[in-house]
Amino acid sequence: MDGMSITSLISNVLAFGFWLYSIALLSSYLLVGIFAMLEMRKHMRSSSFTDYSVLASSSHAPGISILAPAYNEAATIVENVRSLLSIHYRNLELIVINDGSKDDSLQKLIDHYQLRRTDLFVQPRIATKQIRGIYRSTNSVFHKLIVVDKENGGKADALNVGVNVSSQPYIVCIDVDCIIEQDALLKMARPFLDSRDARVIASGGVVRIANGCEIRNGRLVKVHLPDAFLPRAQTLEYFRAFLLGRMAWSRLDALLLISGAFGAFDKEIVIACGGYNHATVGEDMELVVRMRRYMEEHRLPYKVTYIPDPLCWTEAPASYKILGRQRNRWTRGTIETLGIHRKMLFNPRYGRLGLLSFPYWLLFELLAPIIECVGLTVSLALAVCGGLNLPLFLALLGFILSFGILFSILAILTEVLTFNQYNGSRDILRLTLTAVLEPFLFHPFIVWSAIRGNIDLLRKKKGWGDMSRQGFAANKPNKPNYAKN
Amino acid sequence: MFSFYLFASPVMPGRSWLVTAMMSILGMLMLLVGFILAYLLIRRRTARIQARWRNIHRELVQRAIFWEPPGAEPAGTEPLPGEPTHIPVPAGITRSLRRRLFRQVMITELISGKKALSGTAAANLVLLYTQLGLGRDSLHKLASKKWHLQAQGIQELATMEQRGCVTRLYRLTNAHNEVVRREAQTAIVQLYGFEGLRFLEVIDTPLSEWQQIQLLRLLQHATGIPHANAVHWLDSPNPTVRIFTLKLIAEQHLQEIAPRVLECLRDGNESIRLQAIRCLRELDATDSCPTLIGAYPAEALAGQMAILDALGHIGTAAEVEFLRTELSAPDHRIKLEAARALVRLGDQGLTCLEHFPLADRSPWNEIFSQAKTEWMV
Repeated sequence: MDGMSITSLISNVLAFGFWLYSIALLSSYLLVGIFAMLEMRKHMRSSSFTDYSVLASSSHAPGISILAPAYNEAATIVENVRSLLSIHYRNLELIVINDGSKDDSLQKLIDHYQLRRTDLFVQPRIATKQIRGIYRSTNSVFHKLIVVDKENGGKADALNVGVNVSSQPYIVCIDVDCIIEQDALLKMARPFLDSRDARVIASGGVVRIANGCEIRNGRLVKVHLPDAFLPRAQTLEYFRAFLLGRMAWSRLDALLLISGAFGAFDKEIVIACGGYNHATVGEDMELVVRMRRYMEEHRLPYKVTYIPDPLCWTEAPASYKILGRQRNRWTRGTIETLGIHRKMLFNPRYGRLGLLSFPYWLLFELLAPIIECVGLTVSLALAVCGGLNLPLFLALLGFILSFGILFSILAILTEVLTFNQYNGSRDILRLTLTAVLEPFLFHPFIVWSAIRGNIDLLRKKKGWGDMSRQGFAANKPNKPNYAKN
Repeated sequence: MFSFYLFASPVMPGRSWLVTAMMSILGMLMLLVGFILAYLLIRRRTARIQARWRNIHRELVQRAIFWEPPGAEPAGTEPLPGEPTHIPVPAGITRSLRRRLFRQVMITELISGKKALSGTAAANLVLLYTQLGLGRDSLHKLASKKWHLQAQGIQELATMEQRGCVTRLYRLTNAHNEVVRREAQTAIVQLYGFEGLRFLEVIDTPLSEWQQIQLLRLLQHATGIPHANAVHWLDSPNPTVRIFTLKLIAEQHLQEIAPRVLECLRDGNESIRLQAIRCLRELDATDSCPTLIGAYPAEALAGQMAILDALGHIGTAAEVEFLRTELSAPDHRIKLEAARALVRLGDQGLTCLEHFPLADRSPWNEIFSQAKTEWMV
């Protein structure tokens, strides 16, 4: 075999491999779209018969503790807590965990909510950093509020403290600066009560982009599509992820990720699994995987459910710098989680989890940016060597790009047919334009951030990075605080 | 998201294939965008039309609410010749009622009015629903093979108190589809109160907690639950029926059934035992304390915590000694629950805490302090 034919053989094998990968990826997207639409239709029909107010007044409603970790949130904490206290739910406890903030978050809470240090016996069922004090209000209006002051230990540690302090059987973990709809808990509690044969161990909610929306007194008053391109592209991305992706995985009962910004969990299982993992920056995904793994290994029937209704609104990064850090962290979190639980990969003992979810995450979430980068580099190298068939390259590029745009339009269609938050043809056309521009202006940056995440992980870089945001109103903090989602 | 690569290679699809595929996708894309825009346009138009119809319907609904049937005035007054015996409906509305969507908007308006009203006004809305023949629409939905239409039909018939179709509704209380089954069960209880619960004798599927909450809410103001039925349901082979019955007994404070509830503490199902303990607490069944203490060692943590909680509510000085021993339990949660129960028992319980030998040591000092603070709050 001469040198030329060896090169040709390698080239063919590579090309065939990449082609197969592309077909598998696009097919998986098609299946995701179909499953999501079917599941969404079922959800919309079913929820139209549900009167959630039944739960609001019932003494049989299960107790829920909201866990809201806060770090350097002084400028907004009072408003955010007020917003959380106004949520409709009877058996509710709101636990705000001040994770050793360097600002005056705690003092502001003490002053505004008339807090007094109290004796609360906390059984450390999950090991955490030291609690410095627990505060309750002397004003009965705020009787649901508990504020825990602790040494700084990161978001996972703060949430674990919340789990230890919580007295209710279910916990809802949220980002303190998220805006939660007033009926959010009623909807989140439903799957835990509706299950008949399998125990619901966790339930995820949709996170929506609040940039550009009208927010008054910590409440979302009117939904608007963000004007800036970056948040708008993320709005579209969240449609794809939450309305299509997670909905489809929920139908397959193989959901691996519940957003850290808004998720409900069965506390008993959380504790049995050891709580949130401090050793990863993807603690939200890791916890869900660990809970599922625990149930599979103990052969216990279980379910992880998902509510597609827009219940939680968050501020998306508005600059490339912050967005890059966020995606870098997400990539590291995903790799760490898949690494910790690598035993599950292709392992039939874990059912759909091992044979479907894990391979999907590995092949199409984790490796996709790497394969994309390698593909482009090889194509460039071949172009330089004169081995690239340019018309064919452009045809394939066009095919893949058009498919990507089609998938985005499918996500927009799902939104329009279901919740239709962005009313009006103008907004829909702007979203369509965003779908067309996104592969050129947004996607390459996301791929690059993911590659940086891989590199940072190899360098053993830990931590979240500065995640300063603009805030929903003027005069917002610029100190580092928890990243979101 | 996607990989952009390509090699000059015979294993790849041809360029013309790719271009055709791309053009097809772009065509689909344009169609989808067109569909979305057309859908939004039609929806906006439909919403406008429906808003106009709603205004018309609201006028009629208001007229119906204040309508008085002939002879409703002073006793013995005969209806005047020519006085309408039906709620007068404008001819325009009668004509428009030939349109299915118009009728559906009318049904929706009547249902929302009926939910918000009671007494004669609500009865008049039911009369209008019957008079306009809208029940046929609901029955048509009930006959549909689509589960969501069936469920909608059930809701409409139940809200508009169409007792005539009870047989059909009752048959659906054990339907295969969960939503249809749930709606049918709710409808029967909405129409017949406790009497409607006879479906508990036949259902072979579990009653979800959500459905139990829904049924309990419907029954919260009902009276006259037949005790014999409640006892009978406690023998149901369906564990969720037994759990629901225990909740019902607690809600209705059926003290007479307490001895039968006590027998449930021997049930093999942990959830039933747990519910029985909670039920005894609600029934204020002080006599059951010795049995609860007897059942305590065999219970899992949740059951033990529930028994301690119950003893705190229904216990007497006789239970102080037992609670004192539990202050030394290895699990701190048991210690805390025992301390709470002692605090609730009053002076004797508090004295017991004060004289506990380890009262000034951790964690007892913290646990006792919390129990006392909670009680004061």
